[in-house]
Amino acid sequence: MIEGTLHGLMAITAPVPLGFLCLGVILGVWGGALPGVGGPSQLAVLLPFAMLMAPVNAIAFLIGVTTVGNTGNTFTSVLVAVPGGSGSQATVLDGYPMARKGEARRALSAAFMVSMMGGIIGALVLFGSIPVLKQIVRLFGSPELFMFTLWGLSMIGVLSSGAPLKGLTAGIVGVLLSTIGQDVKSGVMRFDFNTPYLWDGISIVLISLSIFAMPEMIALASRKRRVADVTDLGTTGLLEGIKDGFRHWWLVIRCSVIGCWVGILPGLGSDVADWFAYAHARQTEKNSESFGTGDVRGVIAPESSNNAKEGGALLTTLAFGIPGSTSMALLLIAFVSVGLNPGPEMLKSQIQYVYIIIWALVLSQVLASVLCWAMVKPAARVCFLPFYVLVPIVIALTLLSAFAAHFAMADILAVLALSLLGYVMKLTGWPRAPVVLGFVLGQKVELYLWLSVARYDMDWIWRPGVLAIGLLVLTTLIWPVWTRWRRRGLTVAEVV
Amino acid sequence: MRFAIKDLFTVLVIVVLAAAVFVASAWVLRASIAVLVLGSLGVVLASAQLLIDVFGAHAAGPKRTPVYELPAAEDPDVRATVRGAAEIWAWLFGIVAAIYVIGLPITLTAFVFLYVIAYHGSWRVGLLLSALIAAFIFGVYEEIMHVYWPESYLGGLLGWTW
Repeated sequence: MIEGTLHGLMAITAPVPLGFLCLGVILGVWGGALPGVGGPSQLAVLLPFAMLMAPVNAIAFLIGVTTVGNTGNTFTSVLVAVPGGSGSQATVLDGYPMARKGEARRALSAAFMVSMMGGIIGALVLFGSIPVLKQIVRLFGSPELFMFTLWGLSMIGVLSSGAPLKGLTAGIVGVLLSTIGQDVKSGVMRFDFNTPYLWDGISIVLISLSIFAMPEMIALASRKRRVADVTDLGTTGLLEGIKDGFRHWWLVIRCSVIGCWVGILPGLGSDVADWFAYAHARQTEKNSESFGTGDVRGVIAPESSNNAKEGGALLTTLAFGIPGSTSMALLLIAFVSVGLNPGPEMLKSQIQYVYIIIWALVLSQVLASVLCWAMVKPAARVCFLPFYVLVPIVIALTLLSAFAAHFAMADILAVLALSLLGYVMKLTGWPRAPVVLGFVLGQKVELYLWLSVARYDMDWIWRPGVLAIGLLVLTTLIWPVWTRWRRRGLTVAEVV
Repeated sequence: MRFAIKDLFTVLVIVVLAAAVFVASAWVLRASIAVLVLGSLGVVLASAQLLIDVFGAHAAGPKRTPVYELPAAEDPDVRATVRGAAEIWAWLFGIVAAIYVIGLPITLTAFVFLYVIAYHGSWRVGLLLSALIAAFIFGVYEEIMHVYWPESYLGGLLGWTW
């Protein structure tokens, strides 16, 4: 095993593969930083080139492109409240307030530090769990996945502590938005208003752009000011951010494990991992009242999980040949086309490539973070640009990203309509994030519930995994009420 | 009893959720169950929120911000902010109208330039930014992604193709 690991390291650090890795990382970070460009669409464009390469070069290039998008997309999440990808939605909640306080450099630096740490932890998990993974994943069927998504939904109530009723209702609105389009179980067209555009449902890209990015840009344009409320960028942010990563090492490890686990479970993905990690941090960290107001822990939690997720996602892709996301499916196609054979067979006859993939994952995380650190200082200046420079650029890019969802004019109309919803929610004090979380989890909850009932009738409720996660859901719901009750001596009615 | 303008949004949420439940009641159960259960729950929760907002005691003290929310900006001049909001929405509706008339790529490039100029930015900055957007549209969307742009009214009239 040690010999194989060393061979893997030597193979990936040879000049040509390393060059392809660097190129992949640059493209991955660039794609992540531009909303709508990165992710599967970027990978799909690059796939034909990768298919012509030697296996080691293709691995280096594709791992570089695929696994660092979540590092690059932190820029826009922190600086202009535009989630660059689905894995950085929760980062907006504390990253953007930090930028407004003049701590953009610290937020970005901390994010890149923990992204690297999370990515490496993900790679270590990939390395260490290959022999035991088969048994663990087999324990997870649709009932357990249903309970897992239910756990995610239960976090809405916990985290909307300033307005629990509004938070839960907003979450329900999100779930109902996710039901738009054709129901795969019955073929019924739901809330389509006889409009073919709605048959496929609304894209998550449109939801996250219009619930977070557009309302913030509209607010910025209305105030006619800059993003940052302060005039100085500060000088210590970069180092402070790196220190934050080490200072909160235990949080990084916990959130990385959450990210890994979510990555392993097919169908959940990074758009859930960051929310789970954020919710976990909010629930378990001390002095959590400062979350949402520019607390660096609110950046650290989602950023460490969304990169660690890549290790978990690669695990199921390589060990079982089951891609957990669109990007992983494309990666699988590329691997097969260059002669690799992802699945149980790969762990026997092509194990040397698995070690190369693990090293490529580690090196790409390090390279991406170094590249992003180099860009922190100039990027943070975005917060000090006048509104008339920032607003038109961000709105133009947002509309282009929205258009890229289906390449239809209706995408633009949908993003504006949803932006109106997001803006009114912002004005009236309704929490917007539960809409996104409800939307992300809504389809999965419905699908896994239906699969569970169809396959096991109602017997699925008594499965040990379901009971265990059910206990977790109950704890998530009751724990914050209990602690508030004990800490402040409030009555139950006051807490609710 | 205190009914504020912002409570109208809560009323709207109740109406929309109730309408969703009503529409879903016509579907087969396997398609409607989630909407029926969650929609009804949403109506109850939003109604409770409305009752609390309208009839509940409005406690003094610091305003509690929902954790899942970005802190609202402190706007010293509300009138100017309202005017600013009206302006930006007018820009957005203008963009939609312009996209139908002259097409998405030209509209966005022109919007960036005009917005900078309208708010007293320099011509040079306006030109630079619109050139950047045009380069992005042409380089990424045209050359790499080969995007098919929806036909505009003028484009159809004059035979423009992208």
